[in-house]
Order: sequence, then C-alpha cells, then structure tokens
Amino acid sequence: MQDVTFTCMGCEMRLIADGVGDAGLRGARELLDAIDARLSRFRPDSELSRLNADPRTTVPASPLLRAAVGAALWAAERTRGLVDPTLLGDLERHGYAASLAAGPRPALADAVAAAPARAPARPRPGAPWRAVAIDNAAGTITRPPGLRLDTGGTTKGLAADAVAQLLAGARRLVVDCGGDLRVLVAPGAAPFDVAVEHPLSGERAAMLRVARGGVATSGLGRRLWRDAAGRPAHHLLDPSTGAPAWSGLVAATAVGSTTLEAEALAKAALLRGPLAARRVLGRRGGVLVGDDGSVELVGRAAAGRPSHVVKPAPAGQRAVAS
Amino acid sequence: MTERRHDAPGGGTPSAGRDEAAPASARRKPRSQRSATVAYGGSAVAFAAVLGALSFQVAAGGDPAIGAGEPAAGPPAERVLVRRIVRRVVTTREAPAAPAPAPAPPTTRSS
Repeated sequence: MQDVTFTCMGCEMRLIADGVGDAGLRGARELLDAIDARLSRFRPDSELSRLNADPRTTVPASPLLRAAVGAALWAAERTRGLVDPTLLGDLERHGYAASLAAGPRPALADAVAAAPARAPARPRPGAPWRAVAIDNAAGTITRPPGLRLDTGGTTKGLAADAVAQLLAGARRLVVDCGGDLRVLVAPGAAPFDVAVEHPLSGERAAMLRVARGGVATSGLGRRLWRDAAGRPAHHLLDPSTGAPAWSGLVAATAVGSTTLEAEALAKAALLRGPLAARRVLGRRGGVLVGDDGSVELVGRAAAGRPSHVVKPAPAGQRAVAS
Repeated sequence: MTERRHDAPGGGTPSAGRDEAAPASARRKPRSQRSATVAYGGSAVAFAAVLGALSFQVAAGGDPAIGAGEPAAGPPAERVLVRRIVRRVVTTREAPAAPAPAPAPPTTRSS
C-alpha cells in the first residue's frame, strides 16, 4: 500500500494505492500538475485564464479545458444552477481574487457569529451558464464575450475522477484532492473508512464506509476571509445575489457515483440550507454540519449503511457520529 | 537269744510290702518324684510359652537380639564426577521497531 501526500492546486493531495507502481503514481502526479497548470484561474498563463481573457466568442480549447468546462456545466445542470461557473466576477468583487491557500483566515465560529441572517441560496435568474457551449468535434468553447468561467468548484472532483481512471487497475485506491475523494476497491477487497472532518472543531464528525464512488465536502472553513468592509466572506456564493451564502450549514458532505457528482451535490446541499439539503443528498446520503456545530447523518449514512460497498460491512462498523 | 528284725516300715521285703500292704495313698509317687515331674512340666510349659512369645516377637520383626535393625544399606554409592558444561548462547536481537502509527484514514473536508 502506497500513501503519498503532496501539494497541488493550492491544497494537499493524497494518493493511497494498493497495486499501483511508482510509474502509476508518477503519472498521477503529472496529471494533477497538468490540470493545475491549465485550469488555475490564479495563473495568468493558464488556458482557463487565456480563455477568460479572449475577446472572441468561440475559442479553441484543449480536451482538458473542454472537459473541465463540460464538468462545470454538468454540475450546474445537475444542481439546477446552484453550482454556477459564471460567478467569477462576483467572487473577485468580494475579495477572492488571489489564492487563499496560504495566509491567515478568520475563525469559522467568528465568521458564523458575524454572518447575516440565514437564507437558502437560489439559482441566478437567466442562468447565463446555459450560454456556454462546447464543441468537441471542432475543439472549441463558445460563450458570450466577457462571460468568464470559473471551473474551481468542480476541478478537484474532476481531477480525482481522472486520476482514478488512470489508476483503474489498482486493487484499492483513494485519490484525495484537497478533501474531495475518489474511492476504488476491487471486488473482494476491503472498503475504506472515510472520516468526515468537522469544520468547527477539526475533529472527526462522522465515518463513512465507502468501497467505490466519490465523497466530497463543501464547507466554509477553508476559503474564508474578510471583505473590504470587514465582513466575513467565503467562496460559496448565492448565485441569485452574487454574495456569500449563509444558509445555516457550515459544511455538507455528499456521496456520489463520481467525485464530480459528490462535489456538486455537496455544494448544492450547503447552498440550499438544512431544510432542503437532505433531499439534495438523496438516497446515497452524506453528512450535514449546522453552523451551531450539530452533525446530521443523512440517507445511507444515517441508516448505518455503507455507500457503494462491495461486501456487507461487519456488524458494529456502521457509520458513527462522534 | 532274740533275733530282731528291723523291718522297714511296712515290714517284709520291700517288694512284699508294696504288694501286700500298700494303701492307695501309698501307691502315689513319692514326693520327690512328683516334684521333678512338676518341675519338668513347668519348665516345658514355661519354655513353650517363652518360645511362643519369642516366635511371635520375631515374626513381628522385633528380634530381641538384634533389635529392630537398621534398614539394609545399599551398595556403597559409586562416586561419579559430574562436570557440568554450561554453554551460553547469547542471541542479540534487534529491538522491534516501534509500530508505525496507523496512517490517518482518508478524510474528506471542505476544500
């Protein structure tokens, strides 16, 4: 079993692999580096930045960029516009113009205490993301000039899925892209117990048993700052207002068939707030953490049933809250 | 002249006397002869009694002459010189490395 940790995309990456050689791990890292280099909006020379700066309506795009934009559009469709890739201007206006990977950030508890009234987020009227089109045959992306795209909300999920596909021959595999996980376990091999970190305490909030699929968490704790007026701000915007969303949840963890799906569902659940989040997470379930610190297990996790398990889990190894 | 006979009490010859005039009591053995018989008989009885007692005592293992006796001593112990050879084998094992801390489980967190 190999367990490699490194930094990429401004966060910590981890590969846990059984049955993967060094060449495979090296290839995985190269793929992640390539994704970071081409899709980072913080790099002026990245392909995404060049697309956003391009005055043309239709722009030639590499397969990777087309895949990333396609994933962002898929997430928008899947969440009915809540995970919107066209909010880059709003994000920069609220102070997220540069990477927040390093540097101090306010405590989440303080931010929650100072946050405005809670309200569920809603899709942006007009859904401008629907104006984006991808032509794989022509190798182009078409969008209204000036409509800038941010694939950051889905890139890590897409990257985890891509690496898992690259290492598909592994007997057991976890691709951890900054907390967004893709799990792959061959039939007969033991599933993984995935810990869910509590955003307020940093302790373990729950444990999910996963054999295959994606697990992702969306939360306010990591990308948190104060805007120009000193108000707490974070990167999960309410598309209808373009401002940080304070829905009553500080984190949502979702389980999906892919990490991309889990990431989209986790964001949508957090944006919708406690009342609608359970429905968003659906039957596969997940974990919700309220801004009062409460932890709620939803769906299969609440029933103590593992997600995507090849073999039934032994008794006593149910999902637990601690 | 008068002839005097001094007969033995009982008169006549001893044989004639016994035959003729010995009363029942006179026919009893003489006292000395009885004493001998008693002595012989008593001695025999006493001997038999003592012999029986001794036989019983000897049969019980209490020989009055030699006492209870000491247990029979075995043959003198043969003196054997034993040289104990102690072979010490010192095996040095490397102390097992402290168990590596269990790797942290994969963790999902807000990114």
